[in-house]
Amino acid sequence: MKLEREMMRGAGPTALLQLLSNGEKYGYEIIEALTHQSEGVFELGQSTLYPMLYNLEAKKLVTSRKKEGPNGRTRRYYRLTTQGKKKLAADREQWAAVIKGLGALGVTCGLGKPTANLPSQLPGLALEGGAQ
Amino acid sequence: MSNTTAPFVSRALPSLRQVFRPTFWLGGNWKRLIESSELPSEIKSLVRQVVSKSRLMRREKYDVAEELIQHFQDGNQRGLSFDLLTKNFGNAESAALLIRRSKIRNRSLVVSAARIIPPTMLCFSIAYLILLWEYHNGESNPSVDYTSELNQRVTETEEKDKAWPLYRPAWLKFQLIDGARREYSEMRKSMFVQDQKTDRKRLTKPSDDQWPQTVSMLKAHDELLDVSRKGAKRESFGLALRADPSAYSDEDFATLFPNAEKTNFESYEQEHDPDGILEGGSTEILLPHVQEIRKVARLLHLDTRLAILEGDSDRVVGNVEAVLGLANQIADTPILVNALVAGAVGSIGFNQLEEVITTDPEFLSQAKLARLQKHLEQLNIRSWLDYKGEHLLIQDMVQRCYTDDGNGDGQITAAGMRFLNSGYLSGLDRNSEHAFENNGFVKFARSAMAPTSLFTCATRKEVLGKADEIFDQIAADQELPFWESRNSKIDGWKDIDGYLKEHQTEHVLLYRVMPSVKQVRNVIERTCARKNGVILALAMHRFHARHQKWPKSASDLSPKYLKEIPIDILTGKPLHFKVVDDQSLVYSVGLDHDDDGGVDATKNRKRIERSDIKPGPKDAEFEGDWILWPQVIPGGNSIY
Repeated sequence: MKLEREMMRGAGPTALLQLLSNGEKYGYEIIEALTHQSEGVFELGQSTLYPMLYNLEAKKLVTSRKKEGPNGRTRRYYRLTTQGKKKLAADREQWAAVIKGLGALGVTCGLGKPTANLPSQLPGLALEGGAQ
Repeated sequence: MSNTTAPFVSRALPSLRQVFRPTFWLGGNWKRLIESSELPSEIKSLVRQVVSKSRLMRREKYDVAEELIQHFQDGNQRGLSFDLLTKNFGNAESAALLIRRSKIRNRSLVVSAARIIPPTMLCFSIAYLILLWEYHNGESNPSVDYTSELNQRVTETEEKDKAWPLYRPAWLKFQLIDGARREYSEMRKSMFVQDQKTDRKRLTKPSDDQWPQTVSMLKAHDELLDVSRKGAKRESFGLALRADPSAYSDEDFATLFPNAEKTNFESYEQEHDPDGILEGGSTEILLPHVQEIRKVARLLHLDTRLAILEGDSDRVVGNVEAVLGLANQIADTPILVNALVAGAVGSIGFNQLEEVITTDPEFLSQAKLARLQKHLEQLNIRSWLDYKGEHLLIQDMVQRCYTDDGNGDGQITAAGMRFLNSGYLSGLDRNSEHAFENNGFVKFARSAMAPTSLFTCATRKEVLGKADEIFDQIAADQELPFWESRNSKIDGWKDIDGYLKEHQTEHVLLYRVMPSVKQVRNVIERTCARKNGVILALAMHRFHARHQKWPKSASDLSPKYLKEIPIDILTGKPLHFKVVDDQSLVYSVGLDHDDDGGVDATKNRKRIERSDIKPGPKDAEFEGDWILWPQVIPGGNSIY
């Protein structure tokens, strides 16, 4: 099952913010983490990631810098801003409410009690989205 | 620095710093960066395609290229094949589009402005320069001789019907146009006296100490008076006007412009018209003779006083007819100022007649009264009001202030706009206008903005079309009798003045040049009302002379002494008449339309004196009647 584009548009930025809350990451690292940690749900078209990051940067939710990595190569690293942290906290509450509501309606059976680790709460959903 | 501006400045400063870095404008060479990467050619091509199609600034492209190269290198390092990475990357065009949108969102305000403003400014500057060139290169090309059209009536008149050939030698001999300052004119000194009661200047009377000098002056000018009486019988004044005074014949020039030389004639308009917009145009026509006709009319009035003393009733009749004839002749050239002066001269004729009859009702015989009444009935005062001249003057101004594309259209010229804004036509105080112009910044701003008038001003065709529309409307309204007339409406506006004021930027020429239609018509209608009153009074006096009693009703006068009772211009109904203390009284019911029994009201009269006559519905605020006969107004402005 692939996540529809509109779903991705809503959840994708929150997923990115969540990933970056653990520390700064570069582009490919984020793609990998998204795919693995979400068990494939947020496996997005890789070209979609960068516009998404640029948009978050435009909203001042993330910031980037060039930095030399462990292998000596210079990469662009992204990390959360204070504003981004606040936004993530707000998004968490919003998603918890959505999941609770959907659970109460019987859309998502057994998911009525959300936890903080939202992406891992949606197993088995394949993603559809990105620039396909 | 205030708290509100500080965050903005702190946000803007890094962007500003960015803008001033050479790399902002030049950026790195992203193509070289891709080429130098150790990626396979297909991946290089993919990255190049995405970066190229993103159509971002060089610096942004460099960043995107750098990041994508890292992306593919990182993927390959993780053990993924380049084929798989390409597949996972997705469509290049969609990626480019999304990257472009997000990167543009990422730009700061300063960066966006720095990106947009210079090309916009450049476009505006080019457009402005084109406009400036167009504006300052536009030249008018006057090709129609409107002065000839203005003179059409005169040139079509037969020589025997022209009075000017008679007047000219006498005017020249007696230096009627003295070419000097009026207050030093000897003739004028003998004509006027300061009235002790009103403290105003008026014509001398036999009871004045100065009267003997007046009589001497009149005797000395006997030939001039005689020529005036003869000439005024002719149909036309008969002087074809010239825009360039040197175009007059030597005799005409010497008569009209004594003390001036043809070769060195300096128009007083030159000061206001440095570009020579008016040069040779009908608007430059001078009318030195018009006020002099008024002087002759006053001389004839004085001569009437002398003729009464001498018992010469034929001369009195001749003088009255001559003054009315002169009034008719002024309107020869259809210019509104001529109509206004004709109205004033006509009033001098009415005043004379009133003075003769009220002083000595028996002085004029029944036959002479009948002759004068007939003369007045034939006097077509409304024909004096002819807008043809103003229409021609406006057309002439248009051809001098606008370019001509050969198809009747064109744009306003820089010289034309300068002239229209010079204050010469608007009647602005010259000093204040100069003070305004001397303000350097205002002068610069006006000059800089002037080319925009190519967009804001109506085109030549539009101005001429609007002028035609306005004059057609005026002509149509003029057809209506005064009591039915309303202000001329244009484009739904209640009057032309209001319309032109609202559209003064678009129709700057018409706004500056169009005369006040309402006021001129009021002057002419007031003269018509006066004429009607005098005609009715003459009929009453003829009845009295014949029956030794006054008429009691309209049927006593009409149809024997009058075809019908003259109408009141304010109501369209017959004028009222009565006898008070064995004196004839003719009156209009006035602005309130109520018959107050011939009681004059100062408030009413003063408003009418200003020609502020309101046609149409009655105005109850102004009680009282409007006395048309006798109209000797104590303290009034009349100087007879």
